[in-house]
Amino acid sequence: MTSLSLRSLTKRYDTATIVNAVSFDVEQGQLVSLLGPSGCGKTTILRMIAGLLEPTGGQILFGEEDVTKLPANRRNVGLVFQSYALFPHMTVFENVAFGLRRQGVKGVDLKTRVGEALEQVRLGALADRFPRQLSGGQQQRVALARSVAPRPAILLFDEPLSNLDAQLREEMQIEIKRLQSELKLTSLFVTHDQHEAMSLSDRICLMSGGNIQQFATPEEVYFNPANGFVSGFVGSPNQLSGVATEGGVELAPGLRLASNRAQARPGGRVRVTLRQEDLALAPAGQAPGLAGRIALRIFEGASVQYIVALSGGPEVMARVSSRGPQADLPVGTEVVLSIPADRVFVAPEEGAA
Amino acid sequence: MTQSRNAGLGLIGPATVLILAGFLAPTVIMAMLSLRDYSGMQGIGTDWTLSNYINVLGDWFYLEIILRTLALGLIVTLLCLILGFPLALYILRVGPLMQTTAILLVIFPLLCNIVVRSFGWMVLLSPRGVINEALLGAGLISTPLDLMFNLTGVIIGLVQIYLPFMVLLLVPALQNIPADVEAAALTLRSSRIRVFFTITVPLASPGIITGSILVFVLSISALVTPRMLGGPTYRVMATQIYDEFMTNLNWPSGAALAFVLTFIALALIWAANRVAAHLTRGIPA
Repeated sequence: MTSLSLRSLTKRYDTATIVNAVSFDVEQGQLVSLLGPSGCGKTTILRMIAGLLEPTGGQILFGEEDVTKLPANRRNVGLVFQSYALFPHMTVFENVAFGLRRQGVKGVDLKTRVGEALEQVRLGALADRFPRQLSGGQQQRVALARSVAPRPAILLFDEPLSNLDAQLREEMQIEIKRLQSELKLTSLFVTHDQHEAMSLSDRICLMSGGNIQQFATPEEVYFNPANGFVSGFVGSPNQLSGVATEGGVELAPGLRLASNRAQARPGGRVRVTLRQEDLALAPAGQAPGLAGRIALRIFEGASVQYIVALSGGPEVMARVSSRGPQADLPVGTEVVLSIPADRVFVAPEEGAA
Repeated sequence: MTQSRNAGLGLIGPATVLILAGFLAPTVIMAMLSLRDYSGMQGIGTDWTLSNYINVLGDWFYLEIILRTLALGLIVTLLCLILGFPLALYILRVGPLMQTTAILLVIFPLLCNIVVRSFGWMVLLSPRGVINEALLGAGLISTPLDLMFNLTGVIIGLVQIYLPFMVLLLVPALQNIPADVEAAALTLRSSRIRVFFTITVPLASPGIITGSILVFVLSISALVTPRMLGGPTYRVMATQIYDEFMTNLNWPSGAALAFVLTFIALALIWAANRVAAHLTRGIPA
């Protein structure tokens, strides 16, 4: 067990920079998520740490040891793939034993270690099966057991839940969290799913275009997004355009919102991010705010989503509790929308920055 | 329902008739022929006998030919595998333009008639051929190498002719191996060489086995190349069958030898399938 540090890690193909001088640390026993849209460089970083890709520049440190030049088979990492990547011609037992055998574990010892690893993912009974005889969730658990069995210094996850259906995904998420904290494994978890990142991570490293946008705790990323990209990526945001004003923003002529998170000069074109869950909704006349009409109501179980057409402006989506007082507003109701000034994220329009 | 069944019969009809008339009927006639008695004076008799098979399998003259043929098939198959595997891997990993070019280059020799290609090899391999002249001229050898009218010549010719089949079967087999599986083995402390032998080769085994069976069966039944590059006195099963029919006019003996060849091929395919089924237990079809 050890910490992981990246120092100005860079990957370039010809002229395209995929990863641009990325530096961060994962402390011993922590789980950090690399979160971002596809093509942001997160998987490239993971593959460089595993030794499957050669960096163009920078350093990778496991603890104090520089492993940048070390081949993949000498790095002591565990890697869980999106595709599971089990060895189809070997039984579950042999899959898990594969890395242990390379460490010289034999005989009774091998049996015990494989058994332990399979117990940890509750698959002890399936040791003699072949991977294709298992469900997707079981296969991913075998892959998890296979990667932790040799006790790697660093555990890497490459979107391991993306191929699973929603219910299994949640189960696996708990499984991973439990195993990771029990074994106190230093882990890096690549995902494009903010909910996965939020629920699993000690820290989130939010990336875009090969650069780190924000490296912080999930709470910090959610409540204090560092910039327009972050606020537009986390939560369920409405992305609107407007013009910056003194102390706020104008979405359309007459539609003004106060904001104390404006990062733009008054008069400039800006992108406004309003989270659906931050918007408060009330029947017209009951509260101050922007006037609008409900265009659509979508019942989602725990919540109700409204599409509200602002008078003389764009449509916005708002989400309220389905047991709250505003859960039953029919389509066509005149409403007012309000939002606290510290929840209105304003950033210069891309390209204008 | 009935109509679609009739339509189905109509569709497979022509092919069925062709196979029955063009393959099954001659095979049955040959099988009967191989069981007829034969004497030099009266030719093919009317009595049923197993003596043709007993002669072929009990005579060292024939047994040596059978063993030589099997050895030849084995050597050609192994060489095709050893030469074809790196080529298949190269085709798979190289850029799209080179990939197309390489595949075309592999297929290209197939467009050329076997007789022409065997003649080409004679020009290269004969005692005063291109290769020997070049080596003599360079002073590397003092007497010409025996490259033709022996096993060496037949092997060179057959490997060149059947290598494309091996490569064309290995490429899709290797293509089916997910890149992540090999990467996973690498991160599990295996060197590239170990990954190759414990992951790549076993997962490519369906293609390896199919390619090997094909090359082996084609090699042991090859007639033109052994005749031309092996010379008139170098005997393998196919040339001997030809001689029994055309020179000795002993059709029953030739037919028996032909069936021995067929049974060897069938037994081999059966055994290889059993091995393949065991090796690929876990691999989805």
